[in-house]
Amino acid sequence: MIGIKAIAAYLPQGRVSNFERKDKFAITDEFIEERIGVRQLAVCAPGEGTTALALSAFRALAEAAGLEAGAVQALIVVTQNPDRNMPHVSAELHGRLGLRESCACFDISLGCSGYVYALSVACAFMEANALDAGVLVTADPYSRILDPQDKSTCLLFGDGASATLLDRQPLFRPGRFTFGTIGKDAEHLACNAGKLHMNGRAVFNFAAKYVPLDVAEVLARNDLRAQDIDSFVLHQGSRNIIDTIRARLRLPAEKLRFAAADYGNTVCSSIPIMLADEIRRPEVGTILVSGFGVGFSWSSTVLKRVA
Amino acid sequence: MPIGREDVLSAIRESELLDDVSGLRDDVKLTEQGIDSLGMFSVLLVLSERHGIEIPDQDAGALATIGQIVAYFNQRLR
Repeated sequence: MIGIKAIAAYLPQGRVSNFERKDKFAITDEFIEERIGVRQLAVCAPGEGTTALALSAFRALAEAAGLEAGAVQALIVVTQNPDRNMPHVSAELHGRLGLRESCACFDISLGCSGYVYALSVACAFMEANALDAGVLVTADPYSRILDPQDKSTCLLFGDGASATLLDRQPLFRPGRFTFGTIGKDAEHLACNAGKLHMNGRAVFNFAAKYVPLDVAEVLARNDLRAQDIDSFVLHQGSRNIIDTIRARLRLPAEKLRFAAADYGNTVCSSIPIMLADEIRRPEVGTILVSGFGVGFSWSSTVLKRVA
Repeated sequence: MPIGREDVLSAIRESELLDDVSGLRDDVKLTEQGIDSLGMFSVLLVLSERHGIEIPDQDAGALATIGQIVAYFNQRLR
């Protein structure tokens, strides 16, 4: 069965400090540390776009996992902010990396739920087509769509990317997945005229109401209880959202952490960036992952260590 | 059944926003008594779920004090 063999994260070098914007937005140290939880944001360098981020993440994975480009049979990119509308980012990446012509390449347009959704799509696609090695890339730099005057977004979102190697000798295998969408509310988190608009209360209500229910659902579908999970890796929307979900699920702090304080909410990359560390911890055998956000969309699954 | 200030205080406690709610005043904005804008999201969500009432954005903006919240819910619950 196909599963996760290795994950590499890539964060660009640039940083923007939220502490340096305290006066501009009339916020306090406590608000930064305890409420949004984001001290600084990772930001792409000028000219460093989506394809460049994806390329850096792929190269980090290839180096860490000893992956030969010629072995890749499927390349899937999750993004909603490509450098241009055509061609798809995976095709550009294919060309830059010199992958084999028979490599399947496609993009998936999803936001914060994208990694978990794409994990299901990629594993099923590889199984259906008897492919042995695939790479799932996430890269969605929001810095290009942020309004620097909009306090509700510009203090939260950072740039980042990830690459996940999927093969038949994995470290972790996914179980059953859940999916969902509240499309009637999708307008509350949208890019209009090139700028991100977020109704913070609507997004908070969505996450606080639906994610705990979905966590219970995915546990039931996998015949598990919360105490069977070693680590909950949830989309890192903000510290407030993670703290609220943790309180509603009555989970201990060490099992559900906010880890994005030094780079921000990296949308579809937030889960794999955190997972890259979690899968290296030998004491972690079962991980629940849950992505939720753009489109008022969500997806969750449980990853079990098999090696 | 009408709600009272104790319901709002218990929503604040449930949201883990303040250690001590005993000194809160009914006629002063909660954002001026130690609860920030994100905390207000949580208080209104807890009360909304507890009483089965959706609070539209245009109404939420006017719910700043304990007194305003109590009056709003009691009007909607009539």
